[in-house]
Amino acid sequence: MMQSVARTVDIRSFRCPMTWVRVKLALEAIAVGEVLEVLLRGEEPERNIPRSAQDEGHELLGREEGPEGTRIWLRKGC
Amino acid sequence: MLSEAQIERYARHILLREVGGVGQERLLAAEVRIDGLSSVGIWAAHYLALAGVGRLVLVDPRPIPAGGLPPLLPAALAGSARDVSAVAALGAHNPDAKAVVGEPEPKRDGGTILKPAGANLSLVARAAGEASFVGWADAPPCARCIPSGGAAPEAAALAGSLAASRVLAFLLFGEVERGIARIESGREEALAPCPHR
Amino acid sequence: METTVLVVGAGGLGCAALPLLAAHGLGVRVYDDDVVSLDNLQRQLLFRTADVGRPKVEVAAEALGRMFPGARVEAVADRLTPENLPRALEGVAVVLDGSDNFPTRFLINDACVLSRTPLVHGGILRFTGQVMAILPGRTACYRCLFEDLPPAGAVPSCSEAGVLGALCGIVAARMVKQARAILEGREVGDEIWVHDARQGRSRVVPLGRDERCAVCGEAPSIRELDASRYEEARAA
Repeated sequence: MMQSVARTVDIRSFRCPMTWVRVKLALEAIAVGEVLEVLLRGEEPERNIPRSAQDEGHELLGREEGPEGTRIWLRKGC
Repeated sequence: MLSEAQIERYARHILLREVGGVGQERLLAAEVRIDGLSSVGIWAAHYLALAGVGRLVLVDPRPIPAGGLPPLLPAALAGSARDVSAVAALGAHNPDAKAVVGEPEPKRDGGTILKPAGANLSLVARAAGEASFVGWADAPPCARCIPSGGAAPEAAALAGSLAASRVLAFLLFGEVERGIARIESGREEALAPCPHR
Repeated sequence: METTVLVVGAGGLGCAALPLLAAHGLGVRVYDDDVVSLDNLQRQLLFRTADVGRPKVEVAAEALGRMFPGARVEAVADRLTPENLPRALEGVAVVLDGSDNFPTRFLINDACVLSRTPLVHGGILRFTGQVMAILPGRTACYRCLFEDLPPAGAVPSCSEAGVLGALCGIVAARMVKQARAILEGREVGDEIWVHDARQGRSRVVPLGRDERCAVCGEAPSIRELDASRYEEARAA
């Protein structure tokens, strides 16, 4: 991963909409420009979290599948 | 910092783009005085408590009427002071909204007045017959501008719910638009400033 | 002859509408198969913290009983389906739909149109509320305006679950007002009412029955309730 991660949030045990609630709160806790790492699992969050993040002005930097789930990186936009 | 229980309780507020955890914390730190617990005031107090407004100062020592003040105060509480009973009842719906009984202010026209701490105007809310009246003003219009009494239950619910939503909009976004509106047939009509004083 | 109102959903809109209906002495029959959860309490005003985990209709019925001793309340812990709708509609003078999903909204609309039962639809989303009174065959129905369920795969985003709680009272008050007008034979208008709680403004948008509507039009293709038509949108 290119840039260092300011914070990591694990949302694997939550279901929509609590998944996005947790990511949103984690984004509030970092500064604009910083990177949040999200560990998630499941088709629904894999689709919804990047979309919700982009809708609210954040950037999806990348995604990586792993045995424990999917990791995505979001750069806080605003 | 929001607790785990608060994150869950207020999830539907946090999800609002313009609110988030930051907005919810602002509500939890806010204070609103509600003077006048008619049916209108009760609906307003109820929704503000559910929304997590951290401190509600309720003022109305009058007894609860025979039919109660639904949907918060049942008929069984008839005769008890409205403010004292509302304080107890709201706690069961949301322990974060700490409601206390406040000191009545000198005599004024009837109706419900909501005053968020930090607002320089008051939110007037009233219902009479099928009409609801809501808006920000320096002082409530007199009884000739806005009649009182005999409100249909849904007119009172509308006035109280609109009042709560206006107060929340102020607390979250600092938005205040001066002027009282009359709503009866589904559209707001601006009320002319009170000419009787 | 006592009047019965069918209330679909004991959530944000149902919780606010039920006490208003009871205040008018109307009997209510309320359907909801869900239990109270903590995130409901921000807007579902009949429920208290201690009620979390209990069936919504049971808690709602208890609250109504406390507020209105002697009120006629039939609480059904079930969801409405093509199979149970005919029974649910028996003796019902008007339906209030406060459900929160498209399949149910279309199902209730179609059932009301097919049975010629007046319907008041209410919806809330973020800061906006809407109410539409439907007199089947006379005013626009939900399908005249919205046509059909969203396509499969068009799953709403999580943030669409956000809602300002007080909006429930605003919308429910309008729903009950329209329901009363229907019950009293007064004019309701062929329109949709929309309220923006950020602006503090309401507007009324005129509609009109669509002659080509699949369920209430001149040559309807929907003539009975077929469950497959109301399948929840499946994830791709």
